[in-house]
Amino acid sequence: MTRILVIDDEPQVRTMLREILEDEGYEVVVAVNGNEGLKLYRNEPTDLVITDIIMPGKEGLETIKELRKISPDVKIIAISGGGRVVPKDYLQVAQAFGAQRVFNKPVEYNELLSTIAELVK
Amino acid sequence: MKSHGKKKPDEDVDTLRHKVEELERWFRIQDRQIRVLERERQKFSAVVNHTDAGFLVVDSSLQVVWANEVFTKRSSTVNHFGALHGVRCNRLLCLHKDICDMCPSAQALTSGVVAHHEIRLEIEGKPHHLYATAMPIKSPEGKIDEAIIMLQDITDLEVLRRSQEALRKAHDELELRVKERTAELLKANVNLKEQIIERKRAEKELRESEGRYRSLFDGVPIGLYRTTPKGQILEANPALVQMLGYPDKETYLKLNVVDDLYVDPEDRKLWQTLIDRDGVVLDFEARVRRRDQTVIWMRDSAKVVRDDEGRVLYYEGIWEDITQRKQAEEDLRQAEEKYRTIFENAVMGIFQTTISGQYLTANPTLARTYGYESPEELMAAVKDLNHQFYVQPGRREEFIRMVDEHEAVSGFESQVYCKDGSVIWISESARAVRDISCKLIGFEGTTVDITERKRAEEEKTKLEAQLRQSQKMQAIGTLAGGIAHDFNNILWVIMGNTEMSLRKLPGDSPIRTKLQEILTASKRAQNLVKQILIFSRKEEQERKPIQIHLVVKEALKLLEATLPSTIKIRHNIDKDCGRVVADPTQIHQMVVNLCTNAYQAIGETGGLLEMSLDVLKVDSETIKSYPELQEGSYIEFTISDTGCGMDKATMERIFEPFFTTKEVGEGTGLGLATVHGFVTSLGGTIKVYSEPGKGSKFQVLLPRHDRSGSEEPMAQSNFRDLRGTERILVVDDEKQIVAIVQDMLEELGYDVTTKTSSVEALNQFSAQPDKFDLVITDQTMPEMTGIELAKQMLRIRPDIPVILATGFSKMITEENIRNSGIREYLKKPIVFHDLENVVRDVLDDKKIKRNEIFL
Repeated sequence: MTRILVIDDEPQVRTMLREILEDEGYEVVVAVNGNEGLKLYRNEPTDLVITDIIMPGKEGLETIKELRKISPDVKIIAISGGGRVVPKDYLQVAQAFGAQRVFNKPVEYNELLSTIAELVK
Repeated sequence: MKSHGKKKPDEDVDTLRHKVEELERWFRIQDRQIRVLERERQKFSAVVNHTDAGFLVVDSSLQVVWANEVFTKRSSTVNHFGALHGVRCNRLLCLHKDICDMCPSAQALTSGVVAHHEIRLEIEGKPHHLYATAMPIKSPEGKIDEAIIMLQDITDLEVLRRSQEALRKAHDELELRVKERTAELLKANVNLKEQIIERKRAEKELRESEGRYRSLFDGVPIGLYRTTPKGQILEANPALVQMLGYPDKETYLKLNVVDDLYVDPEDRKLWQTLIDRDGVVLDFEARVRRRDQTVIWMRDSAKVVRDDEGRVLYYEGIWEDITQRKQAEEDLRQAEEKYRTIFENAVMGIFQTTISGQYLTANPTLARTYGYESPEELMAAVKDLNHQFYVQPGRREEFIRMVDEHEAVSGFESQVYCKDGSVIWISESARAVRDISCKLIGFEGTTVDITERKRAEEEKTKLEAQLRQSQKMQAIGTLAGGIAHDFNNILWVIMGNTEMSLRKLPGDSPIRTKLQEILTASKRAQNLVKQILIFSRKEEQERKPIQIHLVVKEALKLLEATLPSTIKIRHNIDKDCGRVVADPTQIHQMVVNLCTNAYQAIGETGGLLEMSLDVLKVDSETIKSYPELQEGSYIEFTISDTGCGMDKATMERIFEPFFTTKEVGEGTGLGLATVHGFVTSLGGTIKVYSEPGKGSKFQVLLPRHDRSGSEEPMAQSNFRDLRGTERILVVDDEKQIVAIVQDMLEELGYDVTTKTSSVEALNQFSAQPDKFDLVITDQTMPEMTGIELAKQMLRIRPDIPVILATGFSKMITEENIRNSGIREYLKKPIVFHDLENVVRDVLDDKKIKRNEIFL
């Protein structure tokens, strides 16, 4: 079964994503920030990682960079709720660091699902 | 004896006897001669050795043969030779190495004459004067082979001679002087007699009047005098003596007016000329020296007093010390000079005007301020300040009223007309001028041109307003950016859960409509956040020269499709209006925002929306309507509607962020603020004209991009033919976008095929890979992304050029896109200018590559 790691500091977002993704038949693990996410990934790598950018502890950009180091193949989707300065910039950087896809929150339900499907195919 | 007598004894004896007698006689003679000679020698020797003269004998080579005692004694002091014999006489006498021309010895030796010569020598440090006499001496053979030189020291004689000479001269001079002195004395005597006569005459006269005038003379506080034509002071009163600082009259009377009093003797000469000619001199001013050498100015008035025969006896007159007055005059002159300079050169205008509005005085600066060449010209031209000067009617009355009330005004600011009719701002400060009865008769004061200051103030006010506006916007932006993150999270949770719920609910559930409502509301909230973010993202603008009519048209198409049919859109777009340097997205946004506003003003009942695009030249005349702009060429975009219009208060606030008149949900209150910020940031301006019930008109002016002066790479494209006939496949899931791109490409002459599904597009391409010269695909499509589509197509035909349209920014996509074999990318939303260039670039690049292969 395809495993997806969701990293987001918002509990409601985590809960929602878990439910949406599990409904689609994915196995979901969640983490509250980058540190926890990376720990989980090291223990048991997933096929896809969906990460928020702005988080307490370890933020998203650094998390993406380290994930890329651990595994060049892991698929990464970066999602940002809009930066405190210029939201788009973060996503650009996220992409530069190796995220396959980036989204602004709120993410279109269908678009997210189709992107995930495409990436884990 | 016996032997002689045997032969002829008598004869022999006689002979012998005779001979003896002869010898005896000869001896006697000899003896006598020797005695004579001895006598002579003794005499000579006595002379030579007992005289003061030095003697020496030199041979023909001038070497000393003999010298007498005097010479020998003296000569040891003359030189340092111990012996004299053999020394050349010139070394002894002249101390010369060579024989001098005047050498008497040489002359005596060569010419046989007695020669004389005077020699000056220093003997024992004292100058001596010697007199040398050289006499030739002949040898027994009669040849001159020696000379005797007599040296006489005539030094004392010389001194005597000189003193005698001096004495004689002195005597002569003395005699001459005595003669002269005698003559002088005689002359003086005559003069004295004359003076005595003159004095006696004068004294006589004096005595006559003295009695009468003495007390007056001594008492008046003004200097009174009598002087002779030669300057002798006959009389002076105490006031005069005191005036000139003398202790008493006696001292004073010893002075001479010409020599001792006048600083410039020429003054006295002039005075005397005048008085001798006219008999009187009045108010003659001259400088005189006081006893302490200080100089004072006096004023002289005098008359001549003559005797019966008309000869000048004396002058009498008065001297008045006018030093103070002179000083005051000088001070006044300097002060006047100073004030004149201030008046002439003051940086402010200075005036005196009458209450009826005429100039009495004007300085050059005032004239210049109003554009006149000179104060005279100004005063001639402006005869009625009350009516021909102030722009604002009643301004002069206000000025008069204020001065009358407050005695003065300060900083009275008005707009006035200059000579050429132009208007300037001035600031007047003036005080009242009144007549004896306190009636206001005029004004005097200063004027300063404050046009620049006023302009600066206006500019400042405007800038401050702009600053406030931009600060407000910035604050909103910061706020928006700050909350956007959290807000989006919240929205996402709402939307995600709602969608999920919708999926899980059976199709006929009545709750579905409620959930749909939540979704709709959430989407509106999402749009609002987007708006705010766009609004705060100024730094993301990417300005470049764009053909504004294409962007406007693009927006227009969108609007025509979305606005209700009750609203008629009329447009007049000048395709040749040119380019502006701007972010095309924002131009697009501007048009949409303004049209949305117009539409909302018109409302559902319907009406007319007019749009125009034109060129407007802002020149020195029209700039008055747009003082915030600079002169130049602008592109004018106007949108007018037949809607409800607005009142003045609303108009003043419409560009403020969050100001809205719309119902909740109809607008964000950011649309016009965004447009305003964008337009002003480009150096343009936006104006609104409206009246309640009469619709509104928005006018936007944007600086027209000057092609010739541009160094943008775009300038090149002006010389490029951007048209083409190649076959292009356009793929985008958005029907409207596909249509717009198709229109643009067809306008350029291309053969366009469109697909709204990436799968369909791939199928068509697989079937006929050579039917297309170029593929333009959107990146974000539901079934297959643009990059994936490109990969598939390139697998089928590796040389097919693909252009990806994407919202991604340059920095990131560049690498990703190139890696996937895509040639170029277009940033969304696609604007005409980018499209025509990128398409041409890619197609031409392809050709070049093919050519290379064929070669």
